[in-house]
Amino acid sequence: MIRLEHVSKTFPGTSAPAVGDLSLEVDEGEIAVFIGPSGCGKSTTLRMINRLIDPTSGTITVGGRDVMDVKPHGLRLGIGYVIQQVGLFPHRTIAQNIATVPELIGWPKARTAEQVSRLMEMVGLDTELARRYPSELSGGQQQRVGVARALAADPPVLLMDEPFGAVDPIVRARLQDELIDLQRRLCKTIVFVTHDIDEAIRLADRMAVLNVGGVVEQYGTPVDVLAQPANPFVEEFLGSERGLKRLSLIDVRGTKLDPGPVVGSDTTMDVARQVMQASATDWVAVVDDGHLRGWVEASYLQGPDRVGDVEVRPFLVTLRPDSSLREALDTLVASPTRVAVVLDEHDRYQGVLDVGRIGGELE
Amino acid sequence: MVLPGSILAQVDQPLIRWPWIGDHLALIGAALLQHLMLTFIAVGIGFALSMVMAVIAIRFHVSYAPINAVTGVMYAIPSLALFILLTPITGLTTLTAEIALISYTLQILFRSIVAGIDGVPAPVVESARGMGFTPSKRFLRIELPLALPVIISGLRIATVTTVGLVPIAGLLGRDQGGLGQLIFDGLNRFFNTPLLLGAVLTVALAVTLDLTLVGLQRVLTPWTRRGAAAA
Amino acid sequence: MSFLHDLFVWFNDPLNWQGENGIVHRLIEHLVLVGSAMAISLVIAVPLGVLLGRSRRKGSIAVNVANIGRAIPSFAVIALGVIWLGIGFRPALIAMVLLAVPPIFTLTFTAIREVDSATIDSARGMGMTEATLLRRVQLPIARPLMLNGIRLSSAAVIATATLAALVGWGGLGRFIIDGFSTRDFVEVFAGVVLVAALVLISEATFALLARLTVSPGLTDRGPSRRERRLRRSGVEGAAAA
Repeated sequence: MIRLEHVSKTFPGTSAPAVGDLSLEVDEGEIAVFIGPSGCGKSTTLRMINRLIDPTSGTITVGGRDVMDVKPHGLRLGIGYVIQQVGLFPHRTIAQNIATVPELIGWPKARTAEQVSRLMEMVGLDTELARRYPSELSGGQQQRVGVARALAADPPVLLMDEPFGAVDPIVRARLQDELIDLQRRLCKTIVFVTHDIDEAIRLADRMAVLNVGGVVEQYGTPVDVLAQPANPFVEEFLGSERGLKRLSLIDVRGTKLDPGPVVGSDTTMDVARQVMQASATDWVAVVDDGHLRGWVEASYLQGPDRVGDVEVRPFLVTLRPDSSLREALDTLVASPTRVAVVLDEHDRYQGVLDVGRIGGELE
Repeated sequence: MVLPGSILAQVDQPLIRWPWIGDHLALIGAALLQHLMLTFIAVGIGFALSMVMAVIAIRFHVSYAPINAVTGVMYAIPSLALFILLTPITGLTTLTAEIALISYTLQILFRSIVAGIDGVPAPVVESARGMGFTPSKRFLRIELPLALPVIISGLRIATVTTVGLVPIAGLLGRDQGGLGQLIFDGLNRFFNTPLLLGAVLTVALAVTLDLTLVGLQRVLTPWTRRGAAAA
Repeated sequence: MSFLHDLFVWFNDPLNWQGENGIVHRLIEHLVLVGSAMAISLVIAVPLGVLLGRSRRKGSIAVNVANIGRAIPSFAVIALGVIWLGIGFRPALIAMVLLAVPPIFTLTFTAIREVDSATIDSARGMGMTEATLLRRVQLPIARPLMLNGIRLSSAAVIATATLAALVGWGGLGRFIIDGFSTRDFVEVFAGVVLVAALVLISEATFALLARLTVSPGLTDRGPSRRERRLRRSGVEGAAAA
């Protein structure tokens, strides 16, 4: 969808190029994240795609068309653009702001109005805000308007330059979730610039780690980049918690579960003790007809009774197949059983994960 | 002194008659000196009054609006009228000229002093308070110096305005109005030489005093200069 | 009290309204001078301010020149104009234009320059042409400050145009000058009242114009002066309480 070939940019009056010789492709419907330290040319590269900056050399195509063959403003009308400072028009209402591009390309009024209310709903803005002015909105709300405005004429491509950089961490996380959710429904081709590695890992289908001068050190899926950093620069940039970051990208679903020490309510204590010894644990899980009731400590497994007659303690936190291994790790370290229990969508017991199995995934 | 509406343009005469200047050097010097005196007294007294009013307005916030309104009304009266309206009370005197000139400086100076002190960053005031400055010491040693750039820019406007208004006081009589004496003399007699000399010297005086105050600000507030160099 | 009474009588005298020396004629003369000066100043200062305000680097020199322009005394300019053009309308017009241009230029320049660069970046990024950007983003956002500059100039010119009476042009200044030469201070004051009324009408017109044409999104919703002062003195939340 977007293709950069040997693109370079040298600003007048500087000797070193801001972007040296950059080649990279973004597929249709994916989120590509450009990440790197300041001065790595990630914003410059982004702004060359919609010709806010013209490249010194090289070719950029969007949807197969060379951007230099199109008038800049015509090109930009078809590309959504969101920046960190939002840049809403202070003199126009929220609805008017969102309607900017539809108005520029001459949509009928009714269609524009319909689109505005649809988008406000989509980005989670109360439609009552439509007649307000930007100065009356919070930072998070303003950025939602910015996203809605960029999506207004339904452009296939969206360029986002550190869009969530100026909001506080809690709002940022919510906006990231919403963007993921939005992308699931809209399937845009998105180029997203950030310097926040967690944000990149969270949003990217593919991420490009850039070094000073627009050098692409590595371009790949976050899982691949975290698993196999191409070089020391990438490794250092990913930071010390590389393993933990990777765990957050792997689903429980893809990991082989341990069946765990499982007994039924009507199992005798003798049998329960044997199950426990066989799995080298000091507890057993109680499962009746596939449904998890809880767990029983070793010290209770005494006497002639059956397991169901003594106190069964519930597991406070259980996982789903789409939980990440990072969550599994958080769960098991907090649990007295030292495992994380996984249930399926219908609450049926699937098995357990322990530290050993999670560690195995990182190898 | 008042010109009829339909007088023909001046008869042919050279732009400037140098001998006239040579013959009237003493007069020109006296006019220039008077112009300077009228300006300095007006700006000086105006500044003192404005400072008092500013301190009151800062100390008692409610007084800001009325002081601003009163000085604003004085500033809005056409200069021509202000000189004239005072004559039934104070006559055709220098006092009349000074009262009018002073009342013109008040609005500009009052507002610039308040704005300057208001613009001192809160953390600076807080830390001065924290270090144990008394309110009056804080005012003299912290707030006033930091407000100087804004205050001096107000002084520049007030001074330049006053220099420009002094000649109008020439309406009050032959020996009034500093360089205005020359201008009115020229207008009344259709004589270019004093007219040109009075006007040019007035403009030159305004520009000179303006530049002097710019220089004064650079000397008095070296920190703003360094800041500008760093930016 | 008797002075106010005399003033009332003066305004009620039909003779003071008619003829070449009447209020109507003097008012028209005054408005012709003010109107021509403002029209010429707008044609000079607005395009220049917009043009220089839009170009990123140049312009600060122009502002400095405009500031020096503010230092030039109107009366001296009128006097110089008399030498060049003789007495009457034209020297006064030149002085009034020189008086009106600096505020309009400076504030137009500042207003255009201070439009948030992020707003302009996003406008360009959305595909606005430079003409659309100017018309739909920069000018509307700059409008309140530009109007303020024109308002200041207008008030100054209305008041200062009285000086034209000193060089043989009519206008409301005549009442002041003529009243002075005949020691008729009622007439002087009547002139002042007329000028003040004209200034007030000008102020009201611009206030109305601002209300009608400036987007509510641009009006100052910031904390009031009082609240700012309280915050400055560290009394957080006092305004909310």
